[in-house]
Amino acid sequence: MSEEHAKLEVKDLVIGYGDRVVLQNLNFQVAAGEIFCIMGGSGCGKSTLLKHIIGLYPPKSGDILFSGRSIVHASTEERQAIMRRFGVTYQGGALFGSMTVAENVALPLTEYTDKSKEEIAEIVREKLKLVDLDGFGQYMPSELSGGMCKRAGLARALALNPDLLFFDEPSAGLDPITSAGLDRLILSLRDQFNATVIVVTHELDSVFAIADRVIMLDKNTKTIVADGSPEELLNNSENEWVRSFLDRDGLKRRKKKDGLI
Amino acid sequence: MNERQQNLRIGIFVTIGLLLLVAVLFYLGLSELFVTKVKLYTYFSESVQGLTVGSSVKYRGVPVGSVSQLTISMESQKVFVIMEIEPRYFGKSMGRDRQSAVFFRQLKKEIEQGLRCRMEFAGITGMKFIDFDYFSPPGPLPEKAGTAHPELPGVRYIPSVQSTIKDLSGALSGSLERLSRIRFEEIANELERSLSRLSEILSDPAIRSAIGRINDAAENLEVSTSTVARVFDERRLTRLLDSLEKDMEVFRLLGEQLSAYTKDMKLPESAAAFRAALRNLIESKEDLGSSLSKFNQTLESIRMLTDYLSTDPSSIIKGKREMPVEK
Amino acid sequence: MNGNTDSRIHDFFNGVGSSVLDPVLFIGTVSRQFPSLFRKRGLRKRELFYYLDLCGAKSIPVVTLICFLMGAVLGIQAALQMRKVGTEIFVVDLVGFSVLKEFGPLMVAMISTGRAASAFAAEIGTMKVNEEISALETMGISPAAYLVYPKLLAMLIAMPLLTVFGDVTGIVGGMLVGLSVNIPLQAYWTRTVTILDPITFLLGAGKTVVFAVLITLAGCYCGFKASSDAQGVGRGATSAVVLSIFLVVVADAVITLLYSFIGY
Repeated sequence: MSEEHAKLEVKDLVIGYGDRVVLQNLNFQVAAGEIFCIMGGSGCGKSTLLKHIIGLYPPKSGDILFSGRSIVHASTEERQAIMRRFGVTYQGGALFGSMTVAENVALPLTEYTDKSKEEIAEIVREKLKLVDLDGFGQYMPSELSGGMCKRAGLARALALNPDLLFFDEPSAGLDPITSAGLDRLILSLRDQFNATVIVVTHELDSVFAIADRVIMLDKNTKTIVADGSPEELLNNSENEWVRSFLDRDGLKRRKKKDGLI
Repeated sequence: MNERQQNLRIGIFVTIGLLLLVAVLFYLGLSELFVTKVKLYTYFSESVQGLTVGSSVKYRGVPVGSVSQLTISMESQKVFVIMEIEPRYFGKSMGRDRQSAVFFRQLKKEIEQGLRCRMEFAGITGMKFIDFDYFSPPGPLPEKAGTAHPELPGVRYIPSVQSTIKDLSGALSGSLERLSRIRFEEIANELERSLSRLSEILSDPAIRSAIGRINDAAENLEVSTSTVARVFDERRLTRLLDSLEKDMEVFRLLGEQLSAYTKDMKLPESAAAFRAALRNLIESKEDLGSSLSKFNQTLESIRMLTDYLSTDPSSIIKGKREMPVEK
Repeated sequence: MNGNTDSRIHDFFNGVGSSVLDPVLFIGTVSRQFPSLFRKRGLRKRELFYYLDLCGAKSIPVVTLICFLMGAVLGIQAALQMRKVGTEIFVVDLVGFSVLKEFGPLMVAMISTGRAASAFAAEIGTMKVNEEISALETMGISPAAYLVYPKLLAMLIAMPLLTVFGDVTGIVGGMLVGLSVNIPLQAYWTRTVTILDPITFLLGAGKTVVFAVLITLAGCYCGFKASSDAQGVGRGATSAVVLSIFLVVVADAVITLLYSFIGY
C-alpha cells in the first residue's frame, strides 16, 4: 500500500450494542510506526472500541480503513485476510487451554502457512525468546502465571509478523515491575520491527512510558475529548478532567492530602 | 503417557465396536447371504389374511424358509406367493448348484406322492404360516407341479390345498345355507292351518249329530235284520218288505240329509288343502334329509377337530406344534 | 403509553424472531465452513480424538451398564405380563425390538447429552469468557468450524458405535431375565436372531446419527450464546442439556413416524 494512507483510519464511527450507543463521532488516524494509546475511565468503551477496530463486531455506522481498505464493508473472507495481518494480545492472554504454549504460538502458522514442522518450531522458539519465554514451550497455559500468559499471547500475536499490534489492557492484573517489563517489550518491538502498536490502557505509567499519541474517551460525551502526546495533553489541554486524569503527581498530592498515603 | 492411554481407549472402543457391529449384522441376517436358497411359488384361492412377507414356511413344523413375495394374479383372482426355501434342511450339505438340483428333483417326486402346501394359523394372533405336508387324498396332480414359472425361471410350482379352517368353515356355511333354504315357517303355518281346519270340521255339531244318526240307522238296521230272521215266513215277508221299503225310505232321507250337511261343510276343499300340506311335508322331508346328512358331516369334522385338540389342547393357542430342529 | 405497548410488541417479536433466527444463523455459519474441512489441516485430529475418547470410549461403562439394566427391566416387565397367557417366549420379541428400535439409541443419546452437550457448552462458554473465541476470530479462524466440526465428527463416530454396545448389552440383560422365566439361553438366542433383522438394527443405530448432530449443535450453540461470565457458562451448560433432550425426543418421534411409513 502506498505511504499516503495512514496505517489505520477511523471515520465518523458510531459503536454500540443493540439500541444503546456506546461511543459516537469517532475520528482518528494512526500513523505507521506509532504507539497509539486509547485511554479513558472504566466503562467508557475502550475495549469495545478495540473489538470493533479489529473487526469482531460490525459498527453501527462509519468506517474503519486499514491501509486504505475498509474493514467494515469487506466480505467475510476479505476481512479474515485483513485480520490475519493484525496481532492481538488479550487481557488474559486468551491462550487455548487444550494446547501447549508452543502449539498456541504455532497455531496461526499451521493454519495459514505451508511451512514444515521444523520451520514452524524454529519460528515458535524465536518468538518465545522474543517475549522472554525461552523453554516454556511445552508448558500448558494453566501452568503459567498471568504475566507469562500475556507474553505467550503476545508471542502468538507476533507469529505471523503482523503489521498492526493491538494490546488490550497489557498492565491489568500485573505488578508494576512486570508491567514495566512489558512496556519495555512493546517499545523494543516497535524499534526492532517498526510495528504500529495500538494499546488500550488506563495505566498512566505505561502511557507516559510508551505512548507517542493518546486519545481520551469520555463516558459522558461518548466521544474523544483529547488527542495528542501525553505531555501535550497534561500541560496544554483545555479540558480540566483530562489534565487531572493525566496528572500523576497531582494524584499523589491529593492522596497525601486525604491521608491515603 | 496420557495420549497413549487415550489412544488405547479409543482403539479398544473403535475395534470392539466395529467387531460387535459386524457380529450383530452377521447374526441378524447377513449370514443368510451365504446360505443357498431355492424359490417356490404357489397360488391361493382363499384369503391370505395373516400371511405377510417374512412369514415362515415350515415342513411338517420345521422352519425351512420364508415368504418373500405376495402379489395378486389378476387373471385368476388368486394370490401368488413366492417362498424362499433353504434346501440344507432337506439333505446333507453339498455344492450350491448340486444342492438345489437335488432338491428340485426330490421335490417333484414328493409332490407326486402328495406333498402340498397350505396356510395354517400360527397361534391366536391371526398370523399364518405356510405348512408343507402330505394330505390325503392326494387328488389329481396339477400338470404344472414341480415345473418352473413361465416368467420367473428357477421358481418352481408347488400346488396348494385349502386350509383346514377354510374346509371347516366351508362345510359349515354350506350346510347352514342349505338348512336356511328350508321354509320351516311356511311348512309350520300350513300344517297349523290344516290341523285347525280338521279340528274345526270334527268339532262341528252337525257332523256329530250326523254320526249319531248314522249310529241310530245302523241300530235300526240291526233291529230290522233280527226281525227279518225272526219273522222269515211268507205271511210276514210282504209286511217285512213293506217295512224294509219304509226303512229304506228313512235311510234315503237320512243320506240325503247327510249329503246336504256335508255339502254345507265344504269337505272336499278341506281334503284338498290337507293333501297339499302333506305333499309339502313329503318334499321338505327330502330336503331335510340331505341337510341333515350335511350337518352330520359337519359334526364329524368338529369331532375330528376336538379329537385333535384333546390330544394337544394347547395348539388352539400356540398353533400347530413345531418340531424341534435337530442341530 | 401507546409507545410503550408498541415497543413491548416490538421487543416480543424481536425475541421470538431471534430465538428462531439465531439457531438458524448458527447452523448457517457452521455449514458455510463445511468446505474448510477439506483444506489441509481443516480438521483438528487431536481434538477429534479427544472427543472420541470423552464421548465414546469413556462412555462405554455407563452405556453398557444402563442398557444392560434397561434390557433386564424390560424383560422383567414383559415376563410379568406374558406369563399370564403362557407366552413367555414373546419376552424375546419385546426386549429385542424395544432395545434395537428405541432404548439403545435413546439411552445412548441421553448419556451423550449429559456427557457431551454440557461439556461442549461449558467449554465454548469458558473460551468465550477467556476471549479465546475472539482470539480465534482475530486469527481469521472461524470458531464455528474450528470448534464445532471436530466435536461433530467425533459424535458421529462415537454414537452409532456406542449404540452397538448398548444394543448388545440390552439384549444380554433381557437374556438373563429370560433364564429366570425358563427361557433357555439357546432358545432366547435362536428366537432373537430369527425375529430381528439387520435393517431394524441399522435403522435404530441410524437414528443416533441424527441425535449426534442435534446434541453437538445444541451444545455448541448454547456455549456460543452463553453470556461471558461464570454463571453464564453454568446456565449455558444447563440449557444445552435441556435443549438437547428436547430435540432428541422430538427427533425420535419424527424419525419413528418416518420409519413407520416404510414399514419399520
